[in-house]
Amino acid sequence: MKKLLEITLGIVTSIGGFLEVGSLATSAQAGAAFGFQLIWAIVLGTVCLIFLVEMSGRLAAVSKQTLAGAMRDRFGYPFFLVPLVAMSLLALLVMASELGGVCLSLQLVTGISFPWWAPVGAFAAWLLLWKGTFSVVEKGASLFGLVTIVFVIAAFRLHPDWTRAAHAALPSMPRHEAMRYWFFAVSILGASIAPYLLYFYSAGAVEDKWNETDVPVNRITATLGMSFGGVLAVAVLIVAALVFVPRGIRIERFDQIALMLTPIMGRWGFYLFAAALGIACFGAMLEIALSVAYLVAQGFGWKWSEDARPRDAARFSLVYTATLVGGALIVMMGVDPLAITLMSMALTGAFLPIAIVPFLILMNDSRFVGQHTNGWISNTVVCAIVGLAFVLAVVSIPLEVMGS
Amino acid sequence: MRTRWRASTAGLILSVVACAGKSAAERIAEHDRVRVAWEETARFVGAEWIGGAIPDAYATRTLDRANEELRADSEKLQKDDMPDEARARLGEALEATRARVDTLRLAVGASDRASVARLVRDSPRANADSLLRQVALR
Repeated sequence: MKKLLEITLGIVTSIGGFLEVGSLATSAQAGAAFGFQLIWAIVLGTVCLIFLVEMSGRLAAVSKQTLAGAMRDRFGYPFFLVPLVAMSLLALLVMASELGGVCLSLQLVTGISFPWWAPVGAFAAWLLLWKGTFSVVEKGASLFGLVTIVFVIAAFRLHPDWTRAAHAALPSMPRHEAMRYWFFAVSILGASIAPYLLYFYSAGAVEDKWNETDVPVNRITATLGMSFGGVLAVAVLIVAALVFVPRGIRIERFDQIALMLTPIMGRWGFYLFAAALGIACFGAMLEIALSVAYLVAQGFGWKWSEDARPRDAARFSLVYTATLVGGALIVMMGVDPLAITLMSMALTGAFLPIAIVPFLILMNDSRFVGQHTNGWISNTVVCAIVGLAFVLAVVSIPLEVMGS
Repeated sequence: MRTRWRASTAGLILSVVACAGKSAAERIAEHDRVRVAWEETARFVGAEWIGGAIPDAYATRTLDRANEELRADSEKLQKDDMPDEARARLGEALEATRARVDTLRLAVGASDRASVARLVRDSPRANADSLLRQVALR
């Protein structure tokens, strides 16, 4: 009974925590520009994420080590600095885009311009991290995040052609604007396969004191939770396709995305969209700030725990504080949040090999995962998808940047 | 008159696209896409505002944004490399769209529901022209 409750809670929190500004923006833009055609990118990203999240939980449960700690032990400091620096810089950009999402949701509701909300949003997140425990941060934000299910309801109420949507789950070549199509594909993959989530998940498993008996629970939670989460992203894409394509609207700015639920739900749709955006992004902010703190503190062997008092893990607390301040400064400069989001997601796609390949090596090392090493299926699937994301990113990012 | 003007613009753009190669075609399509996106966004905002689905502040801000984006695209158009006549026609189309968006923004600002309803109903559907882009890029 206790296991069942754990699984249910794990799945529910995975669903509630899945959608953030990256997956919301990339799915909505892709839907508005290419209809259902890019559903396959969400499917691929979700499949890859299922494997990776399951692996990071398995690593923590079996080795009792976090991903960052295990990576440092296995490869040594000099090598570890590469993913550390790359992931920290990328996390700063992603933090800015998530905070931008929170600020935009507040702008939608209040009419006050989004940069003004940056210090408020960053301070609220910092206060929760400073005062809260891991459980509060993880489960609280995710449970509120269930409001994102509104996109699934909206998708059903629009009566899409489900056969066409199912066909779009298989990759297809672009019919127009090929470079933009591939850029969106890599952005969706980058948004789905967020490396910070893996550091957060493995650190959470260690905080929750998982052991080998949790491996089956982890597998079920990762598979079902991430699958349902992927359904949310597909729902966003379907709603955007059905609302914006017939009107000829391409998403150029966040202001436009806010209209996606109003034809179905009226004024409630507007406020539900703002709530979904704000809560999902706020939850992601907490996860990113903690992920960077975990990564740095575990990498350098500092004391770390969200459950510890800040004075007892001062350097850990300093890192998440600095990450939030850095993100807030970028948003306060008034940079377009949609542009940051799209570019940070595409760059995530480009950086995936740096984060994922060492992780795969760890997952095939019996000194860390004992008899629970990866099978050939998970190795092949993850390598193929990460390789695809990397190639697409390398080709499409320079062309998209030059084009715009 | 308006239909004839649009048809002649369509013809001109298609000829330019046919003659000028892919890069010119894509540049024209890009400007067309921006125009259509913001004109239809403005119409959408107007319709939802009349239906009471969005707050006044959001409607005004989004229409302001539409105006800014159209102005920025007009400026970009002047720098882009393309035949002068195509640039002139696209510029006129962008300015006409911008004027309609501005009128709509003023009507929303004045809470003039009747005018907003009329503007939403009577303004030409921009995405009819976007067929040009699809044909051009096929």
